[in-house]
Amino acid sequence: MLTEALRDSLVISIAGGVLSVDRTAALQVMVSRPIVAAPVIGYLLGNAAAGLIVGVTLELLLIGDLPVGRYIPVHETGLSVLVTGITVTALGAMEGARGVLTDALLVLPLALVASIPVSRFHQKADEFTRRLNSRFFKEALAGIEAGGEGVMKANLKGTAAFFAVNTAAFFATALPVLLVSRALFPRVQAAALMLPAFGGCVLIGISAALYAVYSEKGLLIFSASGLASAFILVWLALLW
Amino acid sequence: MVTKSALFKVFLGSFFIQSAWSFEKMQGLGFAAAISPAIKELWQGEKRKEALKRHLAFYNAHPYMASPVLGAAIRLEERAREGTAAADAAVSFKKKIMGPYGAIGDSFFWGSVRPLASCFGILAALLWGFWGPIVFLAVYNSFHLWMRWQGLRKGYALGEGVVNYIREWELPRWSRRFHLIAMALLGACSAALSWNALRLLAPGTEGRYFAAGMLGATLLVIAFATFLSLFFKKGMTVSRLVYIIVVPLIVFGAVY
Repeated sequence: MLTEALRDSLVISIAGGVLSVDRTAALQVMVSRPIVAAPVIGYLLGNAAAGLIVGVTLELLLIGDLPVGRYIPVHETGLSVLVTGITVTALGAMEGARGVLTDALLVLPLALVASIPVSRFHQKADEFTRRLNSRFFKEALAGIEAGGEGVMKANLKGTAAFFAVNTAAFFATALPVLLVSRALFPRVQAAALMLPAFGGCVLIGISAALYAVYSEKGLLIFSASGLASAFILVWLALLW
Repeated sequence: MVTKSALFKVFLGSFFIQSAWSFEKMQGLGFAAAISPAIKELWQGEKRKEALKRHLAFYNAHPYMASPVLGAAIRLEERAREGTAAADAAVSFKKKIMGPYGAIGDSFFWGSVRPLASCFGILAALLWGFWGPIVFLAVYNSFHLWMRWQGLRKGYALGEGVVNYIREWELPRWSRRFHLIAMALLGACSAALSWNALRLLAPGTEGRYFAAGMLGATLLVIAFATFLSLFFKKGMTVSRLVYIIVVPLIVFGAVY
């Protein structure tokens, strides 16, 4: 059990470290967002479908969490790594799984509630890296004074620092979390009545997303579009 | 004139503008690193050192909005070398523009384009599974990459005039439009979620019962989501709301 947990933690920590560089340090093409990161982590752990469900739910929940000014938002990649890690590990550990979709829905609320406080550690690690980066500024300045070409090199050291600190933070949190999940979930059968908790997560997600793009005129569009889409889906269902 | 190769290196460097983000200088080092290929072509010896140190100063704006600023700063450095602009013209321009460009970029890219791309991605995932992440990346990066490249190109061509050029894009107006589209997509997501919930909870339902269930479920999702969004207006965070609503539901599910 320890070997498997160690292997999984190492794999998802390195993958999470690479993906999380995209949050701030490099590219920013949004592969660090939950809708991309969670399916990737799920795939690496052998269950991409569960990762996709986690990714869609977390994306909804975190649409409105914006990195504005000095505010450092929730570490969405960290949360994706942890929630996907717990969900996939739990599904693997539980006996008599009835199918990926249903069971991922059942485990996800537990994984989310357990991961939110742990992911604060990733936020702290991010702050630590930003403090650490000051030294690269001094290094670049010294390089220029010496007539060298060290500006770009010093800048890229920042990317390496973000990767190293994030990977270490992911490993430090993923290993205990995965070990506990492996030990706990064979004894827990996620009940079908856990579905309302998943429904609660989704409703909070839609409301958070709604608030992020809210306007009074838009509220009418939201409702009209919802009902029109429902009519279209019903019509298509009756047609087929 | 700066060569095309140097401009392309600056374009690549713009993707690393936040690499060494720090609380003291924010993107200062990233900006100096990104502009350094152009500086190396424009200045030699002590003047190059001075130019690089100039650009190491405090700088913070939205990372994608750095591209027009980089382009304009290169043009101003060229003019400084020709003697038609002051040596610190580029730095003054950066200081003047970083505040507004930070605000515009945050509101347009973080506040509008990303939610829009997320809504497209989520809806695509609900309807077509793994196409969701691909749709999300395609929608988001079409705006993102266009801004990076076009911003740098126009910044270099127009110098300080790039400010007026970007003003003509009317980004705040597009933000409002994107919000409306995102809300329409969220409505469609609510219906798609209701569809999936109904198929999961009542798989055999057909005909008028299915139609009534679908419309009822969608109306409930719309009403609950609108009601819950009021909590965010009062300063509630997502994490707190998860604990207030989801934890009791988990306990209920476990005990019942």
